[in-house]
Amino acid sequence: MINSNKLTFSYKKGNRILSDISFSIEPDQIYGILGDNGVGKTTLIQLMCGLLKPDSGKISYGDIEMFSHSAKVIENIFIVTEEPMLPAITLKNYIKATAPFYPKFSSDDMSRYLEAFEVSEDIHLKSLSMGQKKKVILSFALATNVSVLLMDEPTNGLDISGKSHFRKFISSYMEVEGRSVVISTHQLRDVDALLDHIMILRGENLLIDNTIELINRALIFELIDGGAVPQNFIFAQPSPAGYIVVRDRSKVVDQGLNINRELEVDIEQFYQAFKEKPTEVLAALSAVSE
Amino acid sequence: MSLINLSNIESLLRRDFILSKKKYIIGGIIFSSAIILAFIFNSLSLSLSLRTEMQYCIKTSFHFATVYTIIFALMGILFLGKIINKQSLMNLLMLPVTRLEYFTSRIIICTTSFLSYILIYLILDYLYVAASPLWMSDSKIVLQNFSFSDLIASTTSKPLYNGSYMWQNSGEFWNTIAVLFGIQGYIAFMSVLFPIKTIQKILLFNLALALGVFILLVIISTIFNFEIQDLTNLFDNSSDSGASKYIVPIMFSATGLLFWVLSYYRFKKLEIINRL
Repeated sequence: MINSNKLTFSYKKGNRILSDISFSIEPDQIYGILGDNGVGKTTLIQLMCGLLKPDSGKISYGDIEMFSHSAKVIENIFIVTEEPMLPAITLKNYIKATAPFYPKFSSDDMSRYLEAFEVSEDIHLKSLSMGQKKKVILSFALATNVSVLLMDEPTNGLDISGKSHFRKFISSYMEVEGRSVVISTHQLRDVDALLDHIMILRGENLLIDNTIELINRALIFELIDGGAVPQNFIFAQPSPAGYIVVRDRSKVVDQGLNINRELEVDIEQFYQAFKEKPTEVLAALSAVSE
Repeated sequence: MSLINLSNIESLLRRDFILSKKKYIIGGIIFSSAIILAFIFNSLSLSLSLRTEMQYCIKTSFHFATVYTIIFALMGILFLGKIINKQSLMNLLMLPVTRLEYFTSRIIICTTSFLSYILIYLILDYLYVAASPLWMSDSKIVLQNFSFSDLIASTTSKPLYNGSYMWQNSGEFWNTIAVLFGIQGYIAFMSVLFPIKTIQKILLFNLALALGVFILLVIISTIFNFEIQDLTNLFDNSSDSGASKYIVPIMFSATGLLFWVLSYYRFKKLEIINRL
């Protein structure tokens, strides 16, 4: 759907943000873009929807370059920004003004999402808190039924029940074939159960671009109840229940080592492991993807 | 494949009406108030014991500057819609419409609004002249030098709209259309040139321009010893004037077209958000 080939971008000369980034956003996947503050996650999201022009390389939706702002492409994409700006009008007028641009917009879906988020349809957008604005824009984004949803920190400002509803809505949104969701976030605990594919930016590069399934084949995430930390771990973090340890699966198997209580892929631990020992994590992933 | 989807244009017009109707009403009130103030100043300055030429300069320049700068400023903020920061530009760029569709919708909105403001001006002008015998007797001489008044002859006893009069004076009518087209193109270009803080920048720019033109005219008229009124004869919309028959409409139409083309290409450059 969205394909990038050797994408390079900088805001000012000499201040390169992204360098030679190549990736592909496929349908029926939920992507998570992770990275430290200022690494370029928001920039990448904006490049994906054509809001920024790359210095070199290409980013396209099918065969159409994103920066051409083709209406046919844009009507298939909706971006939820970190701090949505809504006009000072009523919600009903906002829907009347904006929904006609999206051919697949569903008023019933909009009403359903608003009801779950506990936001009344008879409100004035000016009087909303940031969290409520987020709920409105998320409801609208989901109700457009576009093929690609791009979300920058979508759970920022949401309350606990809002986050729970968000996860439910994204899961049900993906039940329709041919859709993709891309989420840029620091709030991993809010979305880790949703993600199918992880992209990690570091320096100016996209260093990790792998599915959860591949990460699971490459690495073991274990919980060790007290006792000694096993050998050959990539990363270990103490937790109330013991140690959470990340190990190279192929080495554990090759050496016939015991596997303790194996956990599902823990994205936060994976990210921390990558930060501490990027070479070993990349080596483990490469070995499996070959 | 058609270049323009009419339903997208309809959606854009509806969107603009929903988002901006308060702004248009407030703009109309401000504009009307400015004209009324200009007329009051006009009357006051006539009653002062100034040299005729000075009176004329003050009245004309102030009136011109106030009315048309307000029009320019209001149209300036109207053309692109409200773009005050990167977020609002992003909202604009993420509308699934082509650039041409958006531009076309803005032309329709601006033309309708511009003509509405001109109509308000004409109505107030007509009322002003109709009531002017209450405080002065020679206001018609001053006001007749503005071609809009002359076109619809609101300064005489003719009604505000007179179809046969307009048909007889269709040369002046096309002159006025050409001038309006030129002005509208100019305003569109100015608002695309200043997408952020549009109204302040256009107001300042045009006030400076009006002041500069006024000073220049005073200097020229002093040096060459002629009446400023003689210059306005160039734009006399009488059908007997050979110059205005061709030069004025061609000049303003060509200028307007140039400004529109420049606006379109300048608008394309705006899409580079990181330069905003």
